[in-house]
Parts: sequence; structure tokens; C-alpha cells
Amino acid sequence: MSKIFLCSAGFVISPTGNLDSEEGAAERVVEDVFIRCFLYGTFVGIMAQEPVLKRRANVLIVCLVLLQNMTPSKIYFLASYTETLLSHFYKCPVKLELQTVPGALVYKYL
Amino acid sequence: MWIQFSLGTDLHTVFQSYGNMPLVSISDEPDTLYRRLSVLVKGHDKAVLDSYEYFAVLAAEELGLSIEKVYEPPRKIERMTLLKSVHVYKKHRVQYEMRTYYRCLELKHLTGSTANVYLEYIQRNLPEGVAMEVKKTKIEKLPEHIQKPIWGTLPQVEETVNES
Repeated sequence: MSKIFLCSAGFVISPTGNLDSEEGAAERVVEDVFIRCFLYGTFVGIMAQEPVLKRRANVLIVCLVLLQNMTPSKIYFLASYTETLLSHFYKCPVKLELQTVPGALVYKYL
Repeated sequence: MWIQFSLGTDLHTVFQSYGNMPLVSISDEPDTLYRRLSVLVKGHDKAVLDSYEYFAVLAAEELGLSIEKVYEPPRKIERMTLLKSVHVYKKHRVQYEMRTYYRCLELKHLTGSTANVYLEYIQRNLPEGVAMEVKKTKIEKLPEHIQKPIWGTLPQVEETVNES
């Protein structure tokens, strides 16, 4: 069973726990809250937007968009640190997909 | 046992044979036969299910499987009417709903290994936010003790009539 959770910019896809006769919605919420707090604490000040969490058959994929404030070596260290720690916490493979942007993301010019 | 992949690796990794295990296994036992394989996918988004149905039907046709039917069971909506305010204001409520859309794909006359391969391919490419239920109808050989009718073989029992 694969699941996806929150995405920013007002477009929400909920995990499969919220489907009819599917279980595990509450656990997903708790996991997501913890992961967001953890990421917010690890990548302080360089997260351009909310992380996108996806789950595909036990694999947790975290998609992050970072600003280019830090040197790449520091970003690599933080990324592998989060990958190993989260995979040890949740006993499942955790993959991080990083993307860096030069400035703040703009969705719409008014 | 799970395997940790490195940073930035592509998600759909190439399937490697671990150690000396061959990818193709051959055995002398007869393969299980399935009369029907029913794959039901549920999701919140109908467009995602549409594209997944196209992908699954395409995969089945490419593998040469016979598709019995592809249909869309009616959607289910779970609605909740909750209080809008934290304290008091009973007359003002807010309503939420959770919609589940379904899509069912039925394949007929498969062998066990075909079904396994097809299901593995389908499930590896299942999109996020979509759940799947699989029902298999197996064909088994009739057990020996009921293969022939017994109403010719049993000894004749004399009928006793009770006269009251």
C-alpha cells in the first residue's frame, strides 16, 4: 500500500489511511508531524517550502527544496544524517530527494 | 531486511539478483491456475485512477493476458458534520467529506507465475495515495473421494416401515 501526504501550494493528497476501509491514518499523521519537526530542526533556515512526503510500499520519500545558503558539503552531511536517522527510527528505507533553489519560490505573480 | 539506497538515487531502481539467486526459478510442481484475478484500486483522485487503469490494461495486453472486464464501482463519500467553534455555538457546524473512488480490473485464466509477475509489476508502480485489493479465484482439482457419485456403490439398506 502506498501513500502520499501533504504538499504545499494548497494541493493536498492524503495517505491511503483515509480511504474507505483502510487502516493506519492516525499513525501516518503522527509520523508526518514528527518528520516535519525533525526536518525543520535539521535544515534550519534553508528550507524553501514545506517538505513533500510520499510513501511507496514501505519506502518513505522526502522531497525537499532548499535554499543555497549553505556549502554543499554541509547539505550532503545533513541529508545523509536525516536519511540514516529516520530509517533507524521507522525501520523502513527513507530516501531524500533534494533540490536547491537560488531564492524564495514564487508561485504566482499578481 | 531492507536495503538503504544512497542519496539522490532514482526511485525505480533496476532489479538485481542478490548473490547467486537466479532470476528465473524452475520447479516440477504444476503451476496454480486462477480462474479470475480481480484487482480493485481505490483512491481519492479519479484522474490518478484513470491513468493507472490505462497503465494496467496496457501492461496486461502487452503480456497477452485476457481481460474479462474493466469497470468502475460507484464512489463512496464519508461525510462528517462537526462543530465549527471550539466552545459553544451549536448551530454553526462545518462539514467535511472523504471521497473514495474505485476501479476494478478483472483478468481471467491466469497461471500462478503469470499472476505473480503481473501483480508485482503493477504493485511496484502503484502511485502514492492509491490502495489496491487483489482477489484470486483458484482452480483446484476435485478431491479423489468425491470424483465419482456414490449412489451406485453403497450396499442396499432394507427399508423398514413403522406401522403405528
